[in-house]
Amino acid sequence: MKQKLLVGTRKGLLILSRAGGSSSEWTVESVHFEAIPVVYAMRDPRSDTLWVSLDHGHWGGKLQRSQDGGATWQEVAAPKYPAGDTVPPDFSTPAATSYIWLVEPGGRDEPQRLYVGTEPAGLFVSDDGGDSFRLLESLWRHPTNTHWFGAGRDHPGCCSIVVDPRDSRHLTVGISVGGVYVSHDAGETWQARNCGLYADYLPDPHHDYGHDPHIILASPSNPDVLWQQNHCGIYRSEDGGLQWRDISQKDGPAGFGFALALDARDERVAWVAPAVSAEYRVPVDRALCICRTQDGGQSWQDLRQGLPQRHCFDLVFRHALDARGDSLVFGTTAGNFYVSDDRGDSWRCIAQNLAVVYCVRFMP
Amino acid sequence: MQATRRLVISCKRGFRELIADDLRLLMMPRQPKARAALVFFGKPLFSLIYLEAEQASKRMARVKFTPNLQRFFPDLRECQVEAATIAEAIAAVDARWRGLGDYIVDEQGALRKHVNIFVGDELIRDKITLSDNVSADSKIYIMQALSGG
Repeated sequence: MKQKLLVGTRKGLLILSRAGGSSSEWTVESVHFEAIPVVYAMRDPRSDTLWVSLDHGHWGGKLQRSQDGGATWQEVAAPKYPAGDTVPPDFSTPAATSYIWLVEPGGRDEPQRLYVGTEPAGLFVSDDGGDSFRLLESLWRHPTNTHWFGAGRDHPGCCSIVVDPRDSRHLTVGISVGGVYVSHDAGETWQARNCGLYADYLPDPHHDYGHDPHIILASPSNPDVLWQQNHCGIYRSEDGGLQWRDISQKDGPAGFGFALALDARDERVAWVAPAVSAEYRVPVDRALCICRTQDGGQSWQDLRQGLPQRHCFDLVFRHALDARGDSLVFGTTAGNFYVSDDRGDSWRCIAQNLAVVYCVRFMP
Repeated sequence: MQATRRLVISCKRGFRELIADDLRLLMMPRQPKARAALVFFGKPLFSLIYLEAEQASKRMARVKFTPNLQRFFPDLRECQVEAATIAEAIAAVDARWRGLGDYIVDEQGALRKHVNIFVGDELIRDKITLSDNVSADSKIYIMQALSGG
């Protein structure tokens, strides 16, 4: 069976394919939106629709979709903030969609529903397959939004959206910087879920709000198990975010980073792509490695075979690592692209000299 | 639409200038030159004349675009629009090429960070509400800023 990958880069979208299995190698099948930054790309398995988020440097963030596997693309109206709205926390800047972080399908029982997370930190929803979007104002105007702020980018962003496969009304989102918020009524009301997180950049590091989940994922085999690669470490929750536990490696590289991938079958298995620290954004010892835990974060292994171990400055952004079965893929800020077919034990580089890689997604 | 400035009149009766406040104009909008059926109350009889509004409240302006926008709007070309401000000019071109406005301004109407608009050789001053006036025969240039990489 043919496998495909969507790779969003600063200079366009690449669709890679291989005939099937690990015996054949990935090749670039097609290039789309050449020279335009592709922030996010995914395939909605419910409708077999491809979605991409574009970040035109000049013309603003746009959404495009393809219903024929990428042969043709259609621009759809990007989410918009209501007239007169302003951005938290100081509410002095007019709210306008400056970056579309991701597009996430709704549940299988709501085939027309899509979610979009943007900068500033709005969560938008569509109930017509993406023809139109509306802002979920209950989150946007959450009384705790005075604790949100930008980091890395100008404004806080909604970078993670998790739809519970057992209950489509159960949503978990990550605001970076803001924290984790959960809804059990399809986005009508929200509760913060930051207990156990530590934010070393806050006057009170244990504050209820103002945390920075770079990415949040739920284990497919047990969606109560949430993981997050946070600005201040790696965290795991076994109760849907009610209580988070710091699982950062105490004497190894797994700590600061952006990317996270989970095993579909085993809720104890995850991979991260470490860097030194927020102030020192390079690979630890300038050697690229992926770290894997197979016991829910009690221990970590450095996976380095096949990855550059000297003079390496590659970082892996939050949506640029993905797992499918025994295969893992990631792309880096230095335009390199690596693949493993043995759960990360060994790697091979299948592309160099790409532009900055923002997003890598297996096409289911 | 009502003109409020001094008007230059070309008419059958030899009037060269009239003060607009003396006139009741039944303007026909969206004409290249504002033609009006004009009822002049300074005379006991109604006189129907035609006028050219030199400084009507709406002006015709030419809009030119960076060729880079043709990637997204292939039939985009220089055009003439009726507008009193830059914001109105953007609305006018958006009506002609649906969605083009979203490439130039954000949803609050502010000019996108890396887009420049010139009127003649001058950058517009109000990038938030685009209230800069469009003068007669203005040439509006919608350009990319020199940024990115």
